[in-house]
Amino acid sequence: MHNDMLLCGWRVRSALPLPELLPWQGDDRPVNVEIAVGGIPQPEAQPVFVLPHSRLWADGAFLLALDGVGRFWVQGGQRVKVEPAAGVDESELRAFLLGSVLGVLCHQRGLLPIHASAVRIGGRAILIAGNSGAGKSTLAAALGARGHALAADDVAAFDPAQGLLLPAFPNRKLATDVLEALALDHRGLVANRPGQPKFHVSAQAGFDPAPLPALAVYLLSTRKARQSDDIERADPALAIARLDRMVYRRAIGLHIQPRQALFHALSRLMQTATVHLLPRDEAKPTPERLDRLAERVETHARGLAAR
Amino acid sequence: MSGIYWLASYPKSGNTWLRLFLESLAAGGAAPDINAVEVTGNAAVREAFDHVLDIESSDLTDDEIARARPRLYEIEACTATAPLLLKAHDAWHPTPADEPLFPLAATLGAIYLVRDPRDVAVSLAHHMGQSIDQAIERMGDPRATMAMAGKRLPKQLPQHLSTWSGHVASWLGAPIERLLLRYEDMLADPVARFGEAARFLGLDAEPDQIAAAVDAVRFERLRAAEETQGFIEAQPGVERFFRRGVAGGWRDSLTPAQAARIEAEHGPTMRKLGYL
Repeated sequence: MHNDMLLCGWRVRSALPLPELLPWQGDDRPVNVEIAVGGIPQPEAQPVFVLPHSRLWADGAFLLALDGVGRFWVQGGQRVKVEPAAGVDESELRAFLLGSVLGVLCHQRGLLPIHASAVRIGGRAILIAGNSGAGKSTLAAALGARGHALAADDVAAFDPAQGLLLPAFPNRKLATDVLEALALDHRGLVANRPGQPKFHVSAQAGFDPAPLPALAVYLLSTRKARQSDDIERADPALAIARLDRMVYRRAIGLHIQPRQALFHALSRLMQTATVHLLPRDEAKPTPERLDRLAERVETHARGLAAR
Repeated sequence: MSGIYWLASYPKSGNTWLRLFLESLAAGGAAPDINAVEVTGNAAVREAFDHVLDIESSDLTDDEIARARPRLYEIEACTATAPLLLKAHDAWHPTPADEPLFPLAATLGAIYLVRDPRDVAVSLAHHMGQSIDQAIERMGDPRATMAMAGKRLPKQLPQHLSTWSGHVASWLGAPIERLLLRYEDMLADPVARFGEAARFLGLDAEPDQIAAAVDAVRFERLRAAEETQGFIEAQPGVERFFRRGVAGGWRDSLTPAQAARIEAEHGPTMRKLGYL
């Protein structure tokens, strides 16, 4: 008996415990993604693309290597091998398994991973996209506090074939100041990396793995001092270029998927989802500020849905 | 393959002024949009690290980030078609892998900006929303680091500053082409000093273009621009970034004891630079 898990709708069999994921409760389909420990292949061929932590071969096989953490081999969108470094905490392996490795799996499977959190509002998904530290998880959590279920945190997988967003797994990573503003205690929570002020928080309430049509993408940016904080529709001519910047593991993905395929996937996403700019204050998060922001986004999204 | 010129300084030493001058110079002396600087970049921007290295710096430890930063600059230098101008507040120090943070092979040179540490202390205190004593403490702390993670993820990568004196010594000892500019000299004769900076960076500019760009970034103009548009580099909750823009303001802002402490801690470096 295997304790298979659910990730982006895939049946995942993992030799490493993945407490952030829900158990697989779907049909008895074959396993989609298998995560094994050890046995990283050593290809004789030279990689076609090399970055300090990443290597990619012509067949799309990918290696992520982090000194002191481990090595991760990802192939064919279905096989992952992990070689943990001595003494590494398993939570550190998961930070990369559920981050970079998930992103590469998406590219290998012909999906579009967006650097975004996603929230279900009225049966549709809104994506909150932005660079690290822009406040994606924060806004998703503030919407969660208003009763909107999480669909993805940090990496949102869009399936261009179905034109639908694949809810990933019910877990978010939140910074200490946001936990405080949401009156959550960080004691006992697992940090993203030991010592980092960012913690895993389960978000199972209302999580539903059924794929969702995408309603809107909100691009977070820092609000300048005198700038209005109105949510504005992005100029359609620029929207796709802005969204393109938000492709997760983009440099690697461009060596796995043809440029055209990614462009097609972005335009497919934009067939149902409009793109909006959301300037956000950098001021310290307070319960009132977070709720006001979430309420504005909720009202805006409902307005879009009603059209 | 091109390379990188570092616009290096301890914080609050005129770096933003120089960057806005270069912005204006590239625009033929027009007033720069202070919130959309494009001609120069920042070596510690998280976004560039994440996009170029295609990994989340937020998933990395400070040590892992420091080890990877030289690779970022090598890739940026390799892919650039023209020299890059990057602001840097880090001290010129080795990474945990014991190599220069700013790789020599990617480096074309550095402009090192320096300012009287007594004025830096006053300016730094305002910028950080801290007391002057806290600022002086920080300037004497060999472990001082900018953008350290507190309760949230800072916008910038962590930057080891060292002490004010240590910062100066590190850059003045770096084995690279260098132009040393004193903030006080930039104030006294901006056209000459900014002209020197432009020449050092290999920018082909006529004297009247230099003068026009200097005029476009006069302190009152930058201050007025911040007044109407706000400034993205000002810390949240801090009233203004462009505060005073003078030399010797410390005389009416520091107590004799505070000035004496800075002079005691940084005396040798201050003497070397003509501040004592």
